[in-house]
Order: sequence, then C-alpha cells, then structure tokens
Amino acid sequence: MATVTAEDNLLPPETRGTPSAFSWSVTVAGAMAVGLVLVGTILIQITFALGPATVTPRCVEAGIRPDNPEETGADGVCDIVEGLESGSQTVTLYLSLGIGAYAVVAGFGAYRSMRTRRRRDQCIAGAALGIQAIAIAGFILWFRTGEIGIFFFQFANAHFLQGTFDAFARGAVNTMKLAVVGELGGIAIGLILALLAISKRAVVRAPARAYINLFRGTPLILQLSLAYFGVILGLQIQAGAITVAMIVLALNTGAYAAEVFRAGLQSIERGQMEAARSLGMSYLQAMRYAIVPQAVRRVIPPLMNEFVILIKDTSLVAVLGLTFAEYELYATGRELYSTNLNATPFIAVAIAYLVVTLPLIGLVNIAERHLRSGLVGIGGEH
Amino acid sequence: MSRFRIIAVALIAVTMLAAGCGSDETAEPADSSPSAGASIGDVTTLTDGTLLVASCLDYPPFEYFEGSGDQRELKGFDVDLITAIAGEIGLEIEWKKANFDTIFTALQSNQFDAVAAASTITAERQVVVDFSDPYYASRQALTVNTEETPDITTTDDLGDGDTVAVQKGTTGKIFAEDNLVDQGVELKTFDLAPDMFTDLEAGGVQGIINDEPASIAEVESRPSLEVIEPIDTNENYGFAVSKDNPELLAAINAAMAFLDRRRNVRLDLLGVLPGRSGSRGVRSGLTVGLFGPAIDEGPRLRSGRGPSRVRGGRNSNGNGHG
Repeated sequence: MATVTAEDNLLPPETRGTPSAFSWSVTVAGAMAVGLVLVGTILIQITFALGPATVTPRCVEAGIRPDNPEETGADGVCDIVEGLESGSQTVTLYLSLGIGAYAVVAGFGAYRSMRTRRRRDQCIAGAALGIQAIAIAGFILWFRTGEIGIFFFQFANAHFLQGTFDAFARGAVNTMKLAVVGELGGIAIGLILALLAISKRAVVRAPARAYINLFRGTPLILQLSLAYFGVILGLQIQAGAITVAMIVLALNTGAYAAEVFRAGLQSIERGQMEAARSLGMSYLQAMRYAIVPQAVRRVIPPLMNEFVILIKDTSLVAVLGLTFAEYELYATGRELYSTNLNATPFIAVAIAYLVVTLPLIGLVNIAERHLRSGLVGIGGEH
Repeated sequence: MSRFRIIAVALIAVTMLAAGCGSDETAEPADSSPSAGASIGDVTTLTDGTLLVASCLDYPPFEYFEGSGDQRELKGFDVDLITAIAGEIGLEIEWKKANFDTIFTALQSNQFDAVAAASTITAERQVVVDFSDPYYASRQALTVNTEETPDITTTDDLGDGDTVAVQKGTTGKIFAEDNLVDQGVELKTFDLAPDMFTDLEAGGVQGIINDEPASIAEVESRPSLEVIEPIDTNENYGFAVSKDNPELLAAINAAMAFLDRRRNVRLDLLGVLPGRSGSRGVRSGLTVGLFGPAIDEGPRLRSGRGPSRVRGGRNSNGNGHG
C-alpha cells in the first residue's frame, strides 16, 4: 500500500463534511449580490467616464453649477452623477438587493437544518454576503436621493488634482523623511530609557519615568508648537521647522518606544538573566548578549505599529510654518484645499497615506504571526 | 510720525469719550430702532435668534481679545460692526473660532451663519460663498525685521534666498505667489497670523506679506518689526454668508446701509486703522456715519526708520469709549 507521508499526517482530519448544491447556491447568490453592486457600479462609472463630458440638466438638478465647467471640473463630476442616476445603475441596485435578500432568507432560514458543518458554513457565508450587498445597494439608493452633485463636486472632482502629482510625491517623500528620522531617533532614545526604567534603583528609574510621562502625557501638537513657536522662535535660535519637527518626533516616539522596550525586556523570563549571570557575565553583558537580543525580537511588531502611527502623526507638523518644499502630505492637501476651496485633495491625501500605511500594516501582521509565541487568543485565523 | 501718531490716537480717544459718554449715541440699535427691524425681512439662522459668526479672533485691529482672565473681551472693527448689524436684525452674536484657510468651505457647509474675519471679496471665494457689500477698503503691506535686514526697503529687494511668511488662504499669500515667487523668494505658510510675526522676530523669515492694518497692529508690540511698504491690491473686505441664506445676506446689507444712514452709531473703532482719507479705509459714507468725525492722520506708514514707535498706544487710549 501507499506509504503515509509526513504531509498527509500534517493535514487536519476533514470534519466539516460535504457541501450540497443548495448550500453552494446560497453562497454563490450572496457573492453575486455583492459582486454585482460593486463591479456593476464601477463598470457603469468607467463607461460614463469614458463617454462625453457635459453638464446635463440632471446634474444641474443635482446641485452642480453649469457655468465654466472647464474651470471647475463640473463636466467630469457630472459623469459620476449621470452614472449613479442612470437606468443601468438602478437595475444593478435592485437586482443586487433582490439576490441579496434571497441569500439572506435562504441562508438564515436553512442553516439550522443543514446536515454537515460545511453546508451550514456555506449558508451563513451566503447570508452574510447578502446582508453586505443589501447594505451597500441600500446605501447607494438612499444616497442617490440627496444632492449628490454637490457631494461629488466637493469630494471627487478630479479637476482639482490635475498637475498636483509632483506636489503629492514631494509631500510623500517629506512625510517619510520625518517618520523615518523620528522612528530611528525614537528607537535609540527609547532603548536607553527602557534600560533605565527597568533598573532596580529608584534614582535611576525616576528621570526616565519623568521623561516618559511628560511626553506621553502631553499632546504631540502641543510639543511641536511649544518647541517651534516657544523654544526656537522665543529664544531666537536659528533652526528650520523640519529640523525641529524631526527632533520633537524623535523625542516623542522615544517615550512610546521606551514603554514598548520595557514591556519587551520584562517579558523575558527571569531565568535568562540568572543563566547569563551564572556564566560569569556582568549585568550589562547579560543585557547586551542575552536579554536585549531576545527582547528586540519580541518588540518588532509593536515598534512597527508605532511607526505606522508616527507616519500619520507627521501630519501635525503642518501647524508649523513650512515652505512649499517642506510640505508633507497633509500640508500639501490642505494647501490645495484652501487654494481651490475644494475637498478633493484631501481624498488624494487619504489615498496617499493608505498607499504607505497599508503595506506596512500587512508587514506588521506577518511579523506578528512569525514572531508570536505562547498562547493564542480567540478570534480570526491568522 | 510716532509722536504724531500718539496725538492722533489721543484725539480719537478724546472724541470717543466725549461722544460716547456724553450722550446716548452709543450703539444700542436693537432697542432704539424698531422701525429698522421691520424694514429688514425675516431671517433664519442656524440657531433661532442667534447669529453664529466665525472668525480667526487673533487679527487685530479687526478681531482680537484684550485683557486677561475675567476681563478678557473680544474687540475690534469687525466685532463692533457685525454686532451692530446683528442688533439691527434683532440677533444675538455668538462667536466661533476658525482657521482662515478653511473658513469659507466651512461656511459653505453651513457650520456657521456668517464670517467676519477681515476677509477680502474675491472671485474664487464668491464661487463658494456670498459676500455682503464691501465695508472696508484694504491693501497688503510688507513687514520686515529692521534689526536683522535693514537693507530691505521694498518687495523688490527680496530675492533668491529670502523667505517670506504668508498666512494660509489669504490674499497676501496669493499676492506673494503671483509676484514674489518669480523673484526667487520662497514662501513659508502659517495657520495663524501672529505666528508669522513671531517667526519674523526670530529671523526665520525676511518679510511678511499681510493685510496692512493688521500688520500695523501686530508690529506695535514688536519693536524690531516695521511695516515698510504698502502694496495696493485694491481689496475690499466683506462679510461672507452661505449661499443657502440670501435672506441673511440681504438683511446684513440692509442693516449696514441703515447704520450708515443713521450716522449716530459709534463703534469702538481703533486709532490704528489706516487710510481714512482717499480711496482706502472704511468704505464710503460709513466713514462719517459709523465712526465719528474723520481725522486725517496722514500717511500711516513710515518711509524712514528709527527706533521710536508707539507702544501700547492702542491699548491704553484707543478703546476709551466708556
């Protein structure tokens, strides 16, 4: 007979049973409902965007002003409105609502009577997808009844993003510069503070605790303002806003990183220190060669989290006086907002931040999975 | 000039005291003029009976806080004028602090009823909000640090390597972008106007482009700074109102015209407001009607320079209306 391979042994035993045609149909219906409303809406938008751009009477009714469409981007916005209010969009929405409702009714109605666990899962999945489809389609239907022309003119007016790519690219570079310098400085400060903060002696701990509490207990925007408008301008020190911002970000991150490091160091079992000391190492040597290397491994995910938070916090630098070359992402968007009196640049800023932070958040999750040890909590699978 | 200024400020204070305390010409419009209320149509505001007005509240001499603690009081040209207008319409004023660069879009989305923030009427802003009739003719001015850069006397002296501070969303910023950037000047933008002047004092920038009256008021407490060149930009201040509320706009205009006609409302106008004569300054008949006898204070800007300047003159004298 065939030999049992190691791989076979690693597979968990199949306990969920077989699917049925009915339970499959419920899942497919739910997925179809969600897919229809999402893909359908996007396809309709693309079709209208590629078509001719004019401000139609329907758009004027929806709140778009028809004068000077070339200067206001009203023609492009009108495409969005026309697409959303088109007949094909209406059909898509009601179809999605109908299929979604079927999935919900069939899924929730039948899952209790399903024979196997897989069939139950499929019924519940279909019902959950159906609820999502109903929510999305229902929201769009409700949304269409408002003055969507004004809304899209404010938030999705591509006209105001024309020629701004360089500005946003420069903003992204400045944001990353601030965040990287702040994080590296913060890690250095934090490690030193953490080593002081875990000392047995209160006189060594006290200054570190005072520093940490001071920086964790006051808002970053206050620290930035105080450092720039207070210390730098008040004492008439010659220093650029970005330099000051980098220093403050590093000092602030240092306080948070210190807490992360402290938790990491204290999570290392006492026995590690005792073993190192019994080998003849001094306290500092034991820290250097035994404790810190292990702790660093454990604090990588929370430190990366700190980095993601720091990237967003760099936006606070915009309250300082910045030259155009120093603008980070948020300041860039705000500048375009106040020049054009239109909020679309803010949407672009949000996307720009997500482009940077989403991959990082993914990396944090991967790192957490790889570096995790010990107990596994309840919740989704990772 | 500075001595002249003291005299001028004192004169204004005296006339204000005489007129303000000696008779009942002080602004109490709502009670004293029921007929005006009738001629102004019914208006709806966000909160019934209240006019919610947004402003920076840190822009002397138009809107600023004076005193400290319990005595802290909102003062200024815009404050007095809009309060009188609201009184005519029969509304209580409530103030809301807002950043200037987002103030018009916030008004557009009806977060408040009106903006009284020394704001210039521009075509771009008129796309999103409506403006009242103009009430003050203003212009820009260049402010420099005479201790750090004594050789800068006009905007033409600014060039490569120089940084000029401007406030976000202002006409001063637009002027600087259109005219100074080509000379190689770099712009540094600030949320709040006072921060620009602090930075200029510290030597972080070489100049400031800002509304002339506000610049003059700001440098009073900052001895190293001086407003050295007025820049005629032909600007008119107006109160902004949401496009959704044309009735309020009409009421503000009607009230302003009425105040102008009546000529006996005395506002807490400050001695530092430049250009009462000629084309600048308070618009049209308002000069006489609202603000007492016009005093020709001569040119407000120094062409030469020296260490002397009026300090605290406005605070000690200008507001003595009793």
